[in-house]
Amino acid sequence: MALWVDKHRPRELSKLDYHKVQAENLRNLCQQGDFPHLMFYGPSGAGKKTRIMCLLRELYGAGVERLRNETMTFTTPSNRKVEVMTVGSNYHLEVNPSDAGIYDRVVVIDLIKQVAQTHQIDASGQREFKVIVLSEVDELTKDAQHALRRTMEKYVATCRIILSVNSTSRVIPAIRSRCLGIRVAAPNEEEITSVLQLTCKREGLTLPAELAARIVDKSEHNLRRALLMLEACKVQQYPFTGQQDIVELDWQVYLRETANQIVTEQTPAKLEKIRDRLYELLAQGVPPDMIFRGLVEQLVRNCDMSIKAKTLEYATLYEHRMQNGSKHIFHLEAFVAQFMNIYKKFISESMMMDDF
Amino acid sequence: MQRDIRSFYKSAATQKKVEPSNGEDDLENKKRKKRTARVISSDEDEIPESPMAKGKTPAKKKRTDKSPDATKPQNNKKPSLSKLKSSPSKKLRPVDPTALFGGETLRIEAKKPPPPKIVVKEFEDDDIDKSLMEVDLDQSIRAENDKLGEKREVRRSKSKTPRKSPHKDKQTPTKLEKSIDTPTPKLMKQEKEHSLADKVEKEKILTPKTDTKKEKNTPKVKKQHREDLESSVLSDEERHERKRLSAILYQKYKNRASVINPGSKEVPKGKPNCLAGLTFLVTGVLESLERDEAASIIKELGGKVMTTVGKRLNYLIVGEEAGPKKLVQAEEFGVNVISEDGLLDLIREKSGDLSKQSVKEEKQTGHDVEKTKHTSPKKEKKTVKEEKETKQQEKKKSGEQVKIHSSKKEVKGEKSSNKEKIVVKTEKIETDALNNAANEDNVETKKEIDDTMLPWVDKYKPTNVKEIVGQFGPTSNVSKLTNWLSKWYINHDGKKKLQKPNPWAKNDDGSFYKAALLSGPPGIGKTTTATLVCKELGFDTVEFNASDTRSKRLLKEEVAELLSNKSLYGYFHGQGKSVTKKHVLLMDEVDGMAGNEDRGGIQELIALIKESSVPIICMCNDRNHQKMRSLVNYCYDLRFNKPRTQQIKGRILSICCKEGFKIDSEKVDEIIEATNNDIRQTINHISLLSAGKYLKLPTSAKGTNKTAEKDLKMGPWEVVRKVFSADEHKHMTLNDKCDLFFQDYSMGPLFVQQNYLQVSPTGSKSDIPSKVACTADALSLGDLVDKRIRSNSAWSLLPTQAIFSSVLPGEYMSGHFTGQINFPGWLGKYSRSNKRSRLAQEIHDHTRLRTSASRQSIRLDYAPFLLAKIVRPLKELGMEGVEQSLEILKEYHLLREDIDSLVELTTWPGKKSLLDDVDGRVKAALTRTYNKEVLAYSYSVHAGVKKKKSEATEETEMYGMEGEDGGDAPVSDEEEDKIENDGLIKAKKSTATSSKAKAGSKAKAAGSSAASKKSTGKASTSKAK
Repeated sequence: MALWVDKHRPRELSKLDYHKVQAENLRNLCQQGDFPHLMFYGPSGAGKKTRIMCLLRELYGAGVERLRNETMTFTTPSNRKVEVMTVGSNYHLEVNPSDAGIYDRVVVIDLIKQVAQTHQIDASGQREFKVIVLSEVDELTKDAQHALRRTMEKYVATCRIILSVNSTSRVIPAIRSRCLGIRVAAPNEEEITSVLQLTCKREGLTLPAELAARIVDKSEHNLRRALLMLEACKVQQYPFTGQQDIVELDWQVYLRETANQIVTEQTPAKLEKIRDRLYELLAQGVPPDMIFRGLVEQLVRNCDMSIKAKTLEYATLYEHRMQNGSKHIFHLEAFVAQFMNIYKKFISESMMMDDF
Repeated sequence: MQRDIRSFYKSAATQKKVEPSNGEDDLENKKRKKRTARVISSDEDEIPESPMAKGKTPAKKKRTDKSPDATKPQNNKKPSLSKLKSSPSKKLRPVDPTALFGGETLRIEAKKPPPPKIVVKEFEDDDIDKSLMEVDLDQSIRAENDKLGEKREVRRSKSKTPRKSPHKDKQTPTKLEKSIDTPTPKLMKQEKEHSLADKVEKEKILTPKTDTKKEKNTPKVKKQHREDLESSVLSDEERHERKRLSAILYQKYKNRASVINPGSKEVPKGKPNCLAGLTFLVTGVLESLERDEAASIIKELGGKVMTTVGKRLNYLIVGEEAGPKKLVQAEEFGVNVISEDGLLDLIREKSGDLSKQSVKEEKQTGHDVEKTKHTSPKKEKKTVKEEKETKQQEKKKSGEQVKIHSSKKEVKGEKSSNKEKIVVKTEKIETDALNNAANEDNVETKKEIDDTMLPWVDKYKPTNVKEIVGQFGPTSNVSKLTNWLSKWYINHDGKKKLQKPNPWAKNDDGSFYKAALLSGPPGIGKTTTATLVCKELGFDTVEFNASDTRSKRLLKEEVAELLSNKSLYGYFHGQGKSVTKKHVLLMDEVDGMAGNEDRGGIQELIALIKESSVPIICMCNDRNHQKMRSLVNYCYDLRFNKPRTQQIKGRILSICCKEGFKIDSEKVDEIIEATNNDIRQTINHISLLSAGKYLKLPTSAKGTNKTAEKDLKMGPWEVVRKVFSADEHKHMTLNDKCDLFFQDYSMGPLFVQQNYLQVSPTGSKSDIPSKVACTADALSLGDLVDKRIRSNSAWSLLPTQAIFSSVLPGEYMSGHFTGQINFPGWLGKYSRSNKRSRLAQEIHDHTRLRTSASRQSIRLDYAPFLLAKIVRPLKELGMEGVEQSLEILKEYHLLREDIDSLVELTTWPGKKSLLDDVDGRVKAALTRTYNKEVLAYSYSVHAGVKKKKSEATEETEMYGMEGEDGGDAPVSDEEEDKIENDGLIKAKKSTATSSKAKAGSKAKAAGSSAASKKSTGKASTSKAK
């Protein structure tokens, strides 16, 4: 009864739906018996984790799918206990060090040492190394990343590290150079469509091409999202029709509405209301850069050509400041205020022109 | 000293000049001259002693020139003497104030018969007789007064007050004024005249002062005096006057002031029962004690206090504005009239505790007294002495030998040898006393110098608990503390078991606590209170303040030892106090116990308090401070509030008056206001302002205000209002604006950001958007700076942030607020987003085994769909859907709580949550079923959840057992039990039968754990079978 995303997740490299060449390469890599540290990178919903699990299965067999949770406790130098949940099998261990917040460095060092210092007892027929999967490595602090690079080399005999990264730009070059980078690009439209169709076939449903296309469009090349939407559509209305509503994500709707409100009125009072909406978005965990993006896309669509450039300029300026600053709302608000200013000016000027 | 005295004489002489002399005087003068003439030779001896005196006082010379005998150079003293003698007599006679008030003035301590005039008569000519008598009288009185110690004030009826010695007057000018004011106009004239002369006299009398103590006037003789005087002096007019006076007095009594100098004198600790058998009556306002206080002291020491004057009364204690009638009656009954000082001396005397001053002097002369025989010889001695005194003036001028001669002569008639000795001795003593007096004078001047050097705050520091501003009444902190401290040893002798009081209980006397915590803003007298209360109760203090290191070690080793010690203070300071164990540990500024130096200090202090065998008084400013949290639980809580402006003002004005500094009362108000009712600082400001005349400070009204302004801590609301207020900007410099930011640099920017949109800026409306944009831009830059400051500890950038986060927004949006100033929403939102990300983290952890998504995509993508998937069956199928939902929960390893988390993560304002549509009963059923079915997941969950889970597992186990030996279960089980079991079993089999399930669930909810225990019990019993 799981969601389709999880239910129809491919478990073997051979069964992957796209990037098949890459899958073949990975299989070859495994069959060589040894491989370097890997770094899977690509956008969310492209299939990084899926590929990692397939790879591990290829390496160790079905045993890797017997997963268990484990809570590991680490003690920071300041004597604070940090608990981090890990998922692992007999052969691998998956951990998200950024769960520990600013103490991720401790997690990286201690965990890898702990795992890497023990050899596999039953070496017959098994690999000589264990695998540590670190997810969201780009979220790690610089300290943790620097701590990671030495341990990666030191324990290379007993363990391999697989990193899962959204964007390599936030991984320090030292780590990038130590890993074999594997790019998991987001699936293109055809690939997504084919996956959707395949899924429907497995579920015994028929999916109109029109609806599939619309879902693909909405999903922003995120396969996970596409599948989730498909399932939601199915629940809403079956048999499918080409024009049926596609369940949209609440935060996307909310963001769009916010952008529209900015265009409708430009007063300090409105700005205050916008601020509240932005707060809400932030509180819901929508990353501020996504908010920026959503706003800009929507605003640019709604404004005159002459101020589009200016809008983008401000957006980049404040997005940059936001990355360097600490309170996101200040910069989001500043952007909105600036946009309101130029928009208002534009409107009043055009009114004057009309008068002439 | 002799010089001084001469100078007094001189002035007296000049005085004499002013007064028209009558025939009598002349007569006397002549006689004296005659007498003195004999002495000339001896006089020469004296001259070298005081060469300067002569030079000093030209007046005297003038005088001598005028006097007929001026031709004789050595004589210049003699004439003055003679005049002196005559002058008082002359003055005294016409308007005898003593007569007016029933002569009460005279008896200060009329224990021994004063020099009866008869005696004098025997020796002297009739002419001189009267004047001599008068002099005697005066002197005897003065002698008595002085006996009581020069410090004390002889506060008898008004008529007497003018006689106060000048140096006394120095100390308390106000008193003199008062006393002068009181007499009726008629009297006043005369008395003023007197007073001048009398003062002079007084000074003279300084000399005899000391030696007279041993002799005591018998009341009898006094009486005689009095009667004489009364009969002779009282005319109708004067009677009338007297009536009028008494009426005035009554009015006065009604408006009588309270004690003038409360606590200004040290009350001796008399031996218990040292006053036993004596009776006292207090009348008038005493100088340092309230009447009640005096009465209680007397009672404590075994004396009796009466209400009316009677025969059995031993002592009448007279204060200012004493009831004349009582005085008269006392006179009649021959009661000893003493002043407050007399009482204190009496106590000292009786308890054998001789204290300084007069008492000491008494000691010095003690052996003389011993020599002299008691009773009759004494009397005689007295007379002799008095005569001596009268002649002292003479003596000084005419030479001691002569004096001795004369005295010898006088004495001859009665007893000779003894007296001679005495005279000689008294002479010696006289000089001693003079020296003493000189010393004292020096000391006084020194003191004065010191006083001027002291800051006012110290100079006018309360010296007595009653002087502490704003601490009156039984509920004041002072009395609470006094009460607590005085009972401390009783309460903590280890015998009593004290209950910890309810923290909300009122009027708790703190007997439970071993320590007291005085808390309140600075400058309102916490430390002063503590020290004064300790002083008053006779505790010695050991003080540790912020300037001492108060680390754990130090407290442990040094203080703890200290507390078990005994104090030798009293022993070494010769106060006759024995070595005492009574001391107090004063821990001042405990909130300053921080940092490396004082590490562990608070903990150790608490440990000390627990163990302490002495009271501990702690002081801090903010008792709610984090550091104080642990300490307050062990301390008797005494909170000091700021005194009201009026209370402070009174004290300030009195200080200004004493310093002779004039200041508007409004200005005082302003200053007090500006210092936020901080007494210490107010006094400092006043002190500064008073220096204005010398310092040439800008003292315009505005200027002073500015100087006086204390840097107050403003609340953020006030700050943000000022940041944007155009009016405020007018008189603010850039620095002032920056200072607004520094009021609270962490909250300030948030407040500005929250509220800048509420401001309507001055200027054209069309500019508003651009102004807002500029402001937002500045704030955004400010945030960048803030990040840099916090992450790099680059605190030197704070001024930069001040510009961006506070000054620039203020400049752009300068105007006025249109709406309410709000608390920054950022904090609330921030904590909310933190909470939500924690929930997301939890769900992420739980679903980890099934999903591959990162935390963020779980939140943004998965959550709504997952929740929909779980809730939909419940919504559509009701009870039927429970099973289905549960499947999904299990699939994703979710807990029941996670549903709520998911709901929260997917809630948007204005949008209904999915779960709201679900029937409450269905939800309950889901919960129930979940509790029954769901096994422990492979992850461990935190405590609360764990418990639930273990319960669930226990239940499932128990059901297994039930199933096994359900048949064997004893039928005797209660009906209730059965139903319960049935319900549970059914619920497990199918949740469809909602009604039954409900019945079961109710019972289960009540005691699921109990039920489980029972059934496990059952299971075990059946197994045992």
